[in-house]
Amino acid sequence: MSVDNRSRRFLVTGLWGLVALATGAAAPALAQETVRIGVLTPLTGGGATYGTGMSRAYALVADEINKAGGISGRKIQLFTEDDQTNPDAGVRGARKLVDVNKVHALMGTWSSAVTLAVAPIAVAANIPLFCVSSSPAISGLKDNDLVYRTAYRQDVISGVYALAAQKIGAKTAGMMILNNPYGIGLRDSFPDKFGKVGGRIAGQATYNANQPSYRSEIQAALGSKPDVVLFGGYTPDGIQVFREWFQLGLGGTWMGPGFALDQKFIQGVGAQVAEGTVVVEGAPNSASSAYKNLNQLYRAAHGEDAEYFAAMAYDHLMVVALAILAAKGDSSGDAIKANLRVVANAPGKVVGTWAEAEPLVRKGEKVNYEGASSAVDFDEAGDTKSDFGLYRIKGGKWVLEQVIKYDALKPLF
Amino acid sequence: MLSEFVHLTVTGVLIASLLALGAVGLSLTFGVARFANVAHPDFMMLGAYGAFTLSTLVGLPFGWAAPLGVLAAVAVGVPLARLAYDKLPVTGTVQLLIISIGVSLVVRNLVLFTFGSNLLTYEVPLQRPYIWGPVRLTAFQILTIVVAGGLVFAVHLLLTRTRLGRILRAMSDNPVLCEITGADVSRARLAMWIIGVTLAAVGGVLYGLNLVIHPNMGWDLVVPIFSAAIVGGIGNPYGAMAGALLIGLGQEWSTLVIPSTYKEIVAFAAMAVCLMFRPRGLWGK
Repeated sequence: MSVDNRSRRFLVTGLWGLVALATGAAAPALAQETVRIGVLTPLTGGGATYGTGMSRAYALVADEINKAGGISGRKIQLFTEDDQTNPDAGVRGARKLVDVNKVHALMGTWSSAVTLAVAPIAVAANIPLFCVSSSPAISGLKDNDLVYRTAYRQDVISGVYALAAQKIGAKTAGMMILNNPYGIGLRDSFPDKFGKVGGRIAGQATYNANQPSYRSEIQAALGSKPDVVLFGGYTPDGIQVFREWFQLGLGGTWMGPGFALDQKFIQGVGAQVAEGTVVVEGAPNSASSAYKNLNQLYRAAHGEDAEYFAAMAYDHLMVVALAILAAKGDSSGDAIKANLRVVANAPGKVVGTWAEAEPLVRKGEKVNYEGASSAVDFDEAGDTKSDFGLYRIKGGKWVLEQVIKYDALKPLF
Repeated sequence: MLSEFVHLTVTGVLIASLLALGAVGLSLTFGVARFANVAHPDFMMLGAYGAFTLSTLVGLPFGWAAPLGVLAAVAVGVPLARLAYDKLPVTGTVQLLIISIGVSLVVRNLVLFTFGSNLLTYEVPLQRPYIWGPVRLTAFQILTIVVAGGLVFAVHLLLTRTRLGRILRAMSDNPVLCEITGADVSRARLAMWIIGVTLAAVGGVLYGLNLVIHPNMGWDLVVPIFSAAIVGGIGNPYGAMAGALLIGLGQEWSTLVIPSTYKEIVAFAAMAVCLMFRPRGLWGK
């Protein structure tokens, strides 16, 4: 030891001083400390269309709550990172939000791959993560009850397609399926569900991405003139398939997921080719006070309606804010976890906006938050039950035709 | 069953027309310059983007943009090929092959950087097909088959009826002897690049007219175009035409017996079998 006693004493005193400073500074700041929320949405990549709307919704909620005086006097502070719809970028963003910004909750991951990559970081930091991803694997995560989702699970979607086909009066269906796990999963589960509502598969084809032409596959899927054709692919191959289908002049009605038949798709094929296509996507809970409030704020700020994913983002921040309020301002992961179902699930007075909920929760009354995207009742796995919308592409836009209630799926499973 | 067969045949011929425009140029290059130009299918992509730039970005009517786009691809592609393959102090099949992989990477990424990775389409309205029984073809698809057939025939006339054609065939047979007899080898090589890039660029424009264009469209065609050229006997432009037809039809017909997701294997298998048992190709010398 070359360090003499005096300098060692000096060092120890100095360290104690630092500790005293830190705690002394922290104590009076506690009441004023902001609630730090990590927003990790896709602003680029495949999910960019949706991530942008989600980020806007988070900002609108934070703004509304802060203007009303914050959560038990604590303002919400948002830290935003772009996950690029890419697990690597998602993990980098999450690490920064957790390690540098020390956020109290993470929210906004869209792609299942990103959610599954980011979840361990949230669990290790003991903070909740709210996602809009659809992979069934998310339900089974050993997440210490910290990962929540407001979107539907992919494994119910084949039942939704079966009901949608029934609702448009289709008796026979063709399938045009991309050769990847998502497409094959759909190909294997849809015929059974469609059979349960009295339908029959009339033709099918599986194709690889990046084929120069899909002519023979389209002929195989549509050759027998089915009433509806299920498209199980993504946007880029969808654009090619629909263009070649139109040039073949085979006619017929397509049905597919909203994430593939999106605005970029309609732009790529042209409104004329996309006309009449049935789109199945989660539907916002448009009758709720939550959605009405969000839509009003969203319209005022951005001049358009808030869609399903923005509605889910609204719900994420609302339930977290209400849980912290119910915990009397404690924003630790344990406190949020303990109070989340208390404010979100029945029983309790139904609320949907901060103005409705805040006075009740502050007084310690039990509320049941009904969200902008769904009823937002979290089950043991942290999942919620979402309704679906059956849209038609008309004049280059999605038009909501019917809502398929989650409960209507029960007979199929 | 019969109507399905007819449909597959029509699709196969259509794909073969596009492949032939790439494979003939590739085979010609191999015969004369004696290396496999992996970047050759990227010349198709250059043609497609040339026409896109002139029609959608500049605003020319498509009838003008298409030929001018091919010219633009030649104006970019030929000097590039001359610089990378003729002017560098490198000889040897393997070295040039590796350079061509580099050229392909550079070209694709420059296009990616300039135009982005999105699928692009020409601002030409999609057409409804003419229907004759099981045969369904749009006017553009008929145009594609006619133009491809016509250009391939023109290459045949050029190779057999002109002095340049004789020099090209002589270079392919014996380059040293050809040079000794006083033929202008350097000019013939320039002509070879112009022919190869033109054919490929026309193929690219026709591809974009019927399908969609993206920076990797050429790269995705490397396997079928190479197998068409190899099966036909690489170095032999006539073989390349026949090879393209064989690969195009083989891929489509194969779906009658194997799942269509495996049809791309046909091109690869044809190439592998050919290299194992008849490396000079079905029509090779």
